[in-house]
Amino acid sequence: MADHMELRRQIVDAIPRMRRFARGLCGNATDADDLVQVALEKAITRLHQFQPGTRLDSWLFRIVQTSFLDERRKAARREEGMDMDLIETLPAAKAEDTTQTGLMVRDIDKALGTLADDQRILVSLVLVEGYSYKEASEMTDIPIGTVMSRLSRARKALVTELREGGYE
Amino acid sequence: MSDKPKLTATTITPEHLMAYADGALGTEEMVETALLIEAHPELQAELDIYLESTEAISGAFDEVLAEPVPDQMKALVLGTVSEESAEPTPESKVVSLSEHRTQRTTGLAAPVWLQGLAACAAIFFGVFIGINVQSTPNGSDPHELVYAGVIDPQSSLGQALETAPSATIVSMDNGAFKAIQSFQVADNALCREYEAGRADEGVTAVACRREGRWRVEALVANATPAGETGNTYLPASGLDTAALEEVLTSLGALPGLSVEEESCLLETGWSLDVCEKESELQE
Repeated sequence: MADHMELRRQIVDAIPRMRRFARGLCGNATDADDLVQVALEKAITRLHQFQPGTRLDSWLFRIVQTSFLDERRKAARREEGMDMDLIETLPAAKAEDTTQTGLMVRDIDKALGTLADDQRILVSLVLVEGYSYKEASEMTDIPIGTVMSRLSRARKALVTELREGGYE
Repeated sequence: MSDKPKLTATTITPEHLMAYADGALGTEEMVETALLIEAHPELQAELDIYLESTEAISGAFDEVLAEPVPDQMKALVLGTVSEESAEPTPESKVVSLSEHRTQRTTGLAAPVWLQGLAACAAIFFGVFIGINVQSTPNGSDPHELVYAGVIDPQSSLGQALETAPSATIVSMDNGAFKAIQSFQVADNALCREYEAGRADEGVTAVACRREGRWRVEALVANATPAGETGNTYLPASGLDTAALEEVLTSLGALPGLSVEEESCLLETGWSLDVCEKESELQE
């Protein structure tokens, strides 16, 4: 019988949100689930490091986020020297996947793909997951003022990209 | 957010406007900002950008919330890799450091990489994960270099190296394993770059298969300083990369094998002869 059973169940409950967060970061469902898998593996091997009484979701999202940066560095290392255009490496979402506002998920992925990694993390935490600036600041160890200025720049870049793409 | 003495159309910051769009200001500030925008319609365009980004992004990926949690993830969390089993088993064979050193000096790999690694002071040389090899006891000097040699084919690490496809996480008796890629090196040996981890440690390593045996050529570990939680899995950034990169160069690593090439090797017990013939046939 595995230990920390209650904590493990709570982690399972958090998986859907981890997947959504990863979806925002990765640009497609396959990579997102790979990332969640990596993050879960790390979480499980360090369950004892979780401090009871602190927020489990913050702890998990932090692991997802650091795993994302970690995987991105590895990918960059592997693809070093190649003329790599991130956007082209993102498999297109199904054409019929549209959001409530009529934007195609593919276009959103594409626009998100033009952002720097740290911007994408903040956009995903605040806009996809609905965390406050303060919570995002705590999860990324970035001062709140910097979180806000990066986020505001990221959103301007994102909307410019969406508008230029004629997706309005 | 509220440290501005007087809010005017010229002193209002993008951050303040964004916070207004997100409803993240206090009531008083919300009212003050609303009045200001009312009086200065030119601010509306920037405000629209923030509102539009929210509209586009929030909810865009909500579909995944309704999907059932993948079984693989559930199994992972609920107990395939348990913390208890991550502890080294008492019957683990402890291989002495000097024995490793002897193996290394008589082995094939040039010790060139050691110099590169030694230069990276920030890297901790951690505990090797394989069941048949174990580092000096916990609490030892984290800078101690632990060299792991030939891997017991019956060990879980040996099995994982032999059979696990790249990019797939498999649980071992004492942690988890994921191969990053497989590749051939200058002396025709087949090698794999992989990660293995358990509580407190994660390692990235390169092992090569020669005469049916996997042997660790290089290993870089990030030990977790006790008591520190959170971003502990951040790699030693470029440092470990550089060190492993150096090892790969000294081994004469060729580009990574394709999924097809690798799966042929996994199926045939790493028979280069069979798989080379097979890929020739395909061409």
